[in-house]
Amino acid sequence: MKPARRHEFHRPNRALQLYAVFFMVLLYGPILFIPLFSFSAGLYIRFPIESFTLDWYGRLIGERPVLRALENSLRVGVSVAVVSTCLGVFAAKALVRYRVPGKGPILGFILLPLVVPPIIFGVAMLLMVNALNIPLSLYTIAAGHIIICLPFSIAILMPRFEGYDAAMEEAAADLGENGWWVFWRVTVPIIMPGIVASLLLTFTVSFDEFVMAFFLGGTDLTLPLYIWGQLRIPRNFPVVLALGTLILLFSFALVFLGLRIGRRGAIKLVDRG
Amino acid sequence: MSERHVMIRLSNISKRFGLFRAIEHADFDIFRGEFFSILGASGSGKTTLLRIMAGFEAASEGTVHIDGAPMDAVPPHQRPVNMVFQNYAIFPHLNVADNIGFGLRKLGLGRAERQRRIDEMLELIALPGYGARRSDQLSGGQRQRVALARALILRPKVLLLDEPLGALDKQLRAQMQTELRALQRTVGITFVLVTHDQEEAMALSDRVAVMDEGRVMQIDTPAGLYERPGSRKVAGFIGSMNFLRGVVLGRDGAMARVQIAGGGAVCRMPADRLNGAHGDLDLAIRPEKIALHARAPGPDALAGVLRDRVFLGERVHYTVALGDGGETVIVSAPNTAEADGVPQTGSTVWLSWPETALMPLSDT
Ligand SMILES: Nc1ncnc2c1ncn2[C@@H]1O[C@H](COP(=O)(O)OP(=O)(O)OP(=O)(O)O)[C@@H](O)[C@H]1O
Ligand SMILES: [Mg+2]
Repeated sequence: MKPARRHEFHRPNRALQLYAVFFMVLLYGPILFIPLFSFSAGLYIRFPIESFTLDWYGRLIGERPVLRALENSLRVGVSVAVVSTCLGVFAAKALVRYRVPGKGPILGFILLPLVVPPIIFGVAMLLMVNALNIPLSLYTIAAGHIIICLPFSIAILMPRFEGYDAAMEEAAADLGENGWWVFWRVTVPIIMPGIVASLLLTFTVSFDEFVMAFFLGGTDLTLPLYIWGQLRIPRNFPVVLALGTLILLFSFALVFLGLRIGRRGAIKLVDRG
Repeated sequence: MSERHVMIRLSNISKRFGLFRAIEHADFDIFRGEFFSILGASGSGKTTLLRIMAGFEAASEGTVHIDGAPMDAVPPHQRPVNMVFQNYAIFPHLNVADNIGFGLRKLGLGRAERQRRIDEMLELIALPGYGARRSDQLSGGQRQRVALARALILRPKVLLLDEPLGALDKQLRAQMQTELRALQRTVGITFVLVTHDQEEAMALSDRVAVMDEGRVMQIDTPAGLYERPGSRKVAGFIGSMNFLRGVVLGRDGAMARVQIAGGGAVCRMPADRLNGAHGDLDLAIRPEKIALHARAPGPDALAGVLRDRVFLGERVHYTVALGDGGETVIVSAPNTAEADGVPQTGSTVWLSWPETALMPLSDT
């Protein structure tokens, strides 16, 4: 029978399954130690865990510098997300809609920060900022983060522009709207899932970023910088683990949400033909 | 219409994309209230011409006037025309009512008036009560009607339609053709329709412009294009056609004598149609204008050999090879013409036609 052959072809592949499990364990196993030991009463990472406690989380709440760092991270993250998503919308629209001469090279250049090590960018930015006599602050961190985040934003938004017919915008213009209103009444609503996904992902990238912040930061610390500082004080280590656990949860939630919104929007558009 | 009011005037429009000439010297008028079609094969520049009228493309040369006003510096959103796009471009994030009412924002109407106009349009396109439908819950024909309503609600001076029926299946197409024609009569707006379907252009239009490779070949009424195609291209594009070669032998009064190559017979045709042409000549004749005879009906009849006979129900198509030249001619006769017996393939038959049936062509 024909269906049987088809079935056979799609039979689960044992080796592939094992590989997938192995891969997941290797990737996420170490990360799981962070939440695990954040509940351990002992100061040191050591098995077996003797007793469990929520003390470290309690201490976190009373810690003023943590809250300051959290506030800084949120401020940088939100600004970076908004600025890089706005720039991303315009860049993605230009790249998809207009005949830009040398589109390929430009695209490669824009996406470069995805593959160039942040340390290179960090050093380069630091040199530039020093040469221009700009004081290091949260602003310089944000500038560095925008460079890293812009390619993410463009990569998320370009398929949104490719996913709908340019005639939509022409139709709106034909019905009497100028460029600005066409953008607000047609372009923005159609690409909205992409905008939300871009905001969430760029925020997460900025929130978790360390290297650029390390080079470009002044006296105001972001959360990753704060954690880095605390690692040198052994007695604070479990608090860092507790903090790390919370950040991990928060980041996972945001990325998951971002991807889901992005995907759902894509399916909707396809359904509508 | 006593006096014809020019709604769109294209003055010597040319359009180049780089070195490629998409439109060459388009120069014609479209009148108020007219159903005007632009007919041409794929890539002949129909959409480009329509987009120049709408303002989405700028002409490389020439000027568009709409209702007397030059449009050179007028952007699309300020032109008194609206367009139905090839794939309808229905806004996916808006429901049917908001799609139809999209253009009303600028008029600053109150809620009630807005709603009244939208309902009026829904009535016009025979979709009352569909306002709250999501646009992805519409069938192809319904989408097409929503696109029409959205463009018509602004009462444009001209409605531009780019292959509006192209995406529909054959049956729905025929129905929408009738509706489109009726709609145009109701609203009285000038329609400019782009199509590559000659039957559609013939069925709907008051006049048709035939385009080929960026040139407007001929503009005429459907009957005019059918009976008096000016060139081989137009003749071949509209309906089916036999092409013959002939030599002008001379004139007696209003009639010219023309010898047909192949058969050798001498036919008569109105001399004024020749426009003073002499010597060798390209001729065309419609298959249904030719009569087929089993016996020579007279000295003017063209002799040939019947090669094939195809029965199509209402009509019968014969393929006849002329004399020694081997040129073949298709004859389309109503099946009642065979009352006196079915001619055998391979037998000699004679062809004749009315004096007005033969058409001279200007080029090859
Ligand atoms: N933006 C453009 N850049 C370059 N060439 C173009 C552009 N738009 C159209 N063309 C070319 O101009 C010619 C005419 O195109 P147009 O779209 O007007 O054809 P059409 O008659 O509408 O064909 P179809 O029936 O396939 O829609 C085509 O050869 C096309 O490749
Ligand atoms: Mg076209």
